[in-house]
Amino acid sequence: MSMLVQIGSLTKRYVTTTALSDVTLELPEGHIMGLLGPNGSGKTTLMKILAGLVSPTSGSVLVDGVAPGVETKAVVSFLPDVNHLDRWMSVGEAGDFYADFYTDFDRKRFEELLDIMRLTVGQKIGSLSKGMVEKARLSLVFSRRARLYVLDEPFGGLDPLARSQVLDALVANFRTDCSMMVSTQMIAEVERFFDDVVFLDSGRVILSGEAEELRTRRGASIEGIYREAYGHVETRKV
Amino acid sequence: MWKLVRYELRGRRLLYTIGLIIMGALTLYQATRFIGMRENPAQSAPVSMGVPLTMAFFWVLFYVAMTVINIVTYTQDLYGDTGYLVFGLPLRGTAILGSRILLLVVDTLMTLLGGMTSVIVLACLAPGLAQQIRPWVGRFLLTGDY
Repeated sequence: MSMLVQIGSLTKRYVTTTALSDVTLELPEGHIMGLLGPNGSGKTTLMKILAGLVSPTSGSVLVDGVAPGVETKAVVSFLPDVNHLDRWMSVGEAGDFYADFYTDFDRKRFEELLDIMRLTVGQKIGSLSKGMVEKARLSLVFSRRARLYVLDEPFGGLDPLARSQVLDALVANFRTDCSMMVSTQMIAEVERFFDDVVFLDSGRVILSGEAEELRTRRGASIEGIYREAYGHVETRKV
Repeated sequence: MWKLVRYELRGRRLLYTIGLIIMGALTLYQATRFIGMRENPAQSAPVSMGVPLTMAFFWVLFYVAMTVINIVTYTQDLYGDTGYLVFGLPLRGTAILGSRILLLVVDTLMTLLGGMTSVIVLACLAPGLAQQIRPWVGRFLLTGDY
């Protein structure tokens, strides 16, 4: 099994904080990895590094055998946790934008996804609700035939019905020659799709492994393991 | 890089349209103001000079506004949410920076062409203006004594 993502002893320091400390993990091709942890645990920083938006302080990162940069941006489809689309764009113009810059953008798939999401190409991003923008962003990201999908809190603005529609669409479109890394707080709804799970706390990996193996070993769901792992954090907050 | 410039221009089409309509309206207003001055025998040439000078001042304001918008847009791309879109593209940093410089060149050309168009329109609508300001422009250019 080939590894699409290989991270070794990755550390990322900002001026006053250490966002990631000695993180080592691998993501095999065809796998969906859940990146879990409380706020401020380093999930977004790790995803930004994979997307080529932030440089690591030390350690090694390889995406499809190449260090993050211009080359990997062409094969990584990144969904940030905020609306990254310009408000003046219509949904169709956003599709044109992606088609112009990413050679792996599949317009037919985009139209199919828009149908599923009940969006039309003429709708302006600035006039859409938060949930609708989220659907448009997901449609764009999944219309790319990328090697790696990096999704940071992809279901935040979606209602339960839309969430289930999106999840079904994603799983139906998932290919075995790509991989996906998802960070989410809605673990119960998504955990059945995870092949691998990584738990981060204060920038460190505190637990990782195959999801099924973890469930069997710990006798609990991934959400249960999460509660157990971060119980001290919740207690501290109280 | 050119594609990025094209999208930026597309995003600014409304802004450019509104800006150029305002400048067109100001040119017409200045022309009618000059015609009004000419019909009033009490007016002198220095007052007429105010017409092209005011117009030039408006075009400088237009250029300053466009430059500020360029700076704000680039700052938003660097530190705001749209940065994920721009810097997530498989483009080199030089291409992104180059697109911003090209936009500045477009704004400069638009201002220069717009300014020249204003002069031509003023000269057509207010034919006496060119003759009235010629001695003053000549004096300024030849002696710097204005």
